[in-house]
Amino acid sequence: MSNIFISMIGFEERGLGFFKETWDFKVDDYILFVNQEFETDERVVNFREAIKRELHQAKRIQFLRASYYDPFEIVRSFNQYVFNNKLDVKASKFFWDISNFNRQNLLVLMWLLRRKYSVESLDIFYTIPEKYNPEISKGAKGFSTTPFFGRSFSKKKEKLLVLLVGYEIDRPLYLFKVIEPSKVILVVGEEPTDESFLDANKRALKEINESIHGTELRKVPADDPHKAGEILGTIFRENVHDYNIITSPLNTKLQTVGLYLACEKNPNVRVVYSFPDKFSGWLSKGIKDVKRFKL
Amino acid sequence: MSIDTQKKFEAKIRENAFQHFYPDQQLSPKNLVLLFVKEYTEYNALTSFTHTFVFGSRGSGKTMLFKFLEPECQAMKCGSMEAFFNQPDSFIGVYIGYNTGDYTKTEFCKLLSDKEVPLDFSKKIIMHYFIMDIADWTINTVLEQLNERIISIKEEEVVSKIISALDRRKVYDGVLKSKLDLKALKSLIEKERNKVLSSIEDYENSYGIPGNRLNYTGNFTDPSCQKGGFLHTFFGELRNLLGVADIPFFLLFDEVTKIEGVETLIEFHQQIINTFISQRVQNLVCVKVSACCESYNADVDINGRAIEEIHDYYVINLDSLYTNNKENYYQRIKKIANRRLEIAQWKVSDIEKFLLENPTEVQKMNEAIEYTAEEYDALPEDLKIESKQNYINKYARARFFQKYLKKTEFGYTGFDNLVHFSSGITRTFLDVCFYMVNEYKQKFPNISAEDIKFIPFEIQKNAVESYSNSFIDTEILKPIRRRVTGSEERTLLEELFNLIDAIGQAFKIRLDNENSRYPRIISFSIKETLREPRLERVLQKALRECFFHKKWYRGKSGYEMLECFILNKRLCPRYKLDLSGFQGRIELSQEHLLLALNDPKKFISWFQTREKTGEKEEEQLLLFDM
Repeated sequence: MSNIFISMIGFEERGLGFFKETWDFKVDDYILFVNQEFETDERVVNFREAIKRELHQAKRIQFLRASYYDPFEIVRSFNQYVFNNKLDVKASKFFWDISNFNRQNLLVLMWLLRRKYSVESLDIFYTIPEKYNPEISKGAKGFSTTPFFGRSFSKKKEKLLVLLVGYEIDRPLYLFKVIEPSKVILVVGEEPTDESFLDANKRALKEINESIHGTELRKVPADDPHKAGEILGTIFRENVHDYNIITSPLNTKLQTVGLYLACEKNPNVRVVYSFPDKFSGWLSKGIKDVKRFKL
Repeated sequence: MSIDTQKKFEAKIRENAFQHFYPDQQLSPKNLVLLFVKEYTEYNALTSFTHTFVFGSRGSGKTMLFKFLEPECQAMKCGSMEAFFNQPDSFIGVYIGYNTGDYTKTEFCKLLSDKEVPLDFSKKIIMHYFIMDIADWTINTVLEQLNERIISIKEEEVVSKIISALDRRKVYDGVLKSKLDLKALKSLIEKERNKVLSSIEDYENSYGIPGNRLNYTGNFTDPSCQKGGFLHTFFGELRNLLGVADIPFFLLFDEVTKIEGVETLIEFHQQIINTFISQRVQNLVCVKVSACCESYNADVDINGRAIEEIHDYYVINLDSLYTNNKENYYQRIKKIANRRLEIAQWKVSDIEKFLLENPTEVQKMNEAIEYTAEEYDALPEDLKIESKQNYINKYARARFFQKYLKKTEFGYTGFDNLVHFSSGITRTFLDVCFYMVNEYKQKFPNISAEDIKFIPFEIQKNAVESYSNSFIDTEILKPIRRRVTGSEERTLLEELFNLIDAIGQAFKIRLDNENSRYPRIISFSIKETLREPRLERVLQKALRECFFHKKWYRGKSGYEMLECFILNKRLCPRYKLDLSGFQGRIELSQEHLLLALNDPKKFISWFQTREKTGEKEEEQLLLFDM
């Protein structure tokens, strides 16, 4: 049985938050994913060096390739790792820092751990930065369904789009345009992490509501995946009889974990994604707090 | 449909007669027949036994048209199912909602691009899924809408034959013990679809594990409808089961429109659909496909054989219906609106009275007509090259804008104007009316919807104006602000805005030009055939987003067909243009259009100079009838 740590090398300093704390467990293996599209980005290169320094005493560190656009890349890398190391995944304990993961890879890897490998011990870590950039990304392009989520749709039901929205506007609007649902539920975070964040969220919500009429609004906690999962699960259960449900996580990563938990219990819910046109220069700054959740 | 759902429908439409319903999701056959207006559509062309493409913008009524072809709706139209099937040109319409299906799953996309799996094999397995889904839609239609026609004594034999044709790999030999009826067949087809999905999912979630292989244990089918193929047996035997030996199935593929990110997969599906078309088996299976303009690009079948218009299929262009025959569209909208008022049980029953034209505008228009008549009378005899009535028809609306409307005024009230404003898109007309009613209810909360006698001019004017502006604001200006400066998407949007804005202003300059012979132009053509890629990209986007409609016209040589771009009339109020006519076109060079993309001000300045120096001969060719 091994203790395995998972993280992603990204742009954000908060990816180091986990290492600044003292934990009640020791890690044997470090798996560090890096999205191939950003591999040569200076910030990613610097981050990689910084994490190497943090882990200079670690026994085993493995850098694995993922892809921002192709969710199957993380599947391939992880499976190869498991095979090459003859890892007993189910019996291993996983400690996963999701702070730097993009949502699609987060969902797919979580599906892999919990559904394919039936991992029983999974602790999630999430670092809250000092400051978020409310203009994290701009624009929207492309449409993709997240693999392994949502089997077949009923041919008789109406379409319900459950959009977990934050401060992005183009991506939810793009999905609305492509999917043409008869009903839309906007899910927003109920506890803001900082005021500027809240203003950006309000602006986004206003603009989305101006473009999509008659939406229903629901609130879920921004930083509690279990509660978020429960509420989303309730939304899905309330509607699954009448609707084909399509959802998209465009808000916090902890809510995305909550979405995963809700989807696990509602396997017919389809998760879709649209990609931003471009990221802004920085995503977040500093490290404020590290949160831990047992799944 | 349950009583609750029916009550919900009735409540919604009473609350606002112009409520939008998704026909594929929210309308029972009964309500769909209630709302559908068959007259003044291309219904007859669509029901001919010819493979047909229906191209049209979102909201132009494609889904409504397709859903109306389903058996239950046709039976209601004819009085009974028996009466419908007794008609010589009856058919069994099977609605296949492409955008409600499972076709765009990332798992399929990945398989198509997976170099470890031979492409032929990937395509075979995806094609089988697609065919099984068509079979599933068909069985659903039969079970739900034609259940009473099933000849039960034939059911077991028919289903056995279909299963034999499907199960070539003997996957189900000795497995099927239960009674072989259509429900059993449906469940077997579901199994086949699940086999495809499971095998792909199992393969893809094991990427990276040595020895991982796509292990598919189901059957294969293809779109061949020739004797010996699965579909030949499937459709033939279903006809036998329904006792309708000669009646073809109409496969109604709705909205096979390309989506960014899954284009390759959709193009492959389009090729599968083209394979139905290339076989010319309309007496068994006739294909009807709807898509948004410019987004059905596959022109070959799965074997690479090209399909050709006229030989293989017929095209209905819903967008150009409007530009070709305004009268039909006008009458159709009138019927649709009046029918909605009737269903809503509102006291007003005539949409023309509900959307009255402002009498001040009517009076000013009459004055403009009188003025134009006098203008004609004052012309020297040798310049009276057309009849007085023609002259009035051509110039009175222009004079109305030039001389009788103050700069701040709009001439956009009344039913006629709103019909023009909707630019061939039914949903636009209904949406604007919907907002007018909501606005009215907010302003006069004590008056219930059913008691509204007419929409006040101020509300009409504001709704039209804001709907016109919101088109540009929502689709271009706000997205520009949300995109990074210098990014490809932002540049494209900025260039699109520049083009629309420059062209819109140019049309206004033309409309205000009292010396112009063709003042009411809202379309342009491009001199050269070959286009600069940047201009091409912007024009494609403009067409895709419906800022312009495209129409083909014959060039001077008589042989070449040239493109003409007509401004969506929804934009006319934004540029204070006349909604009612679009005679002729302005011919522009690529160079000038590029100037419009880069620097609209310079373009406008050039255009003003050109207007002062007179119009060119080619602009005066008439494209459209008044």
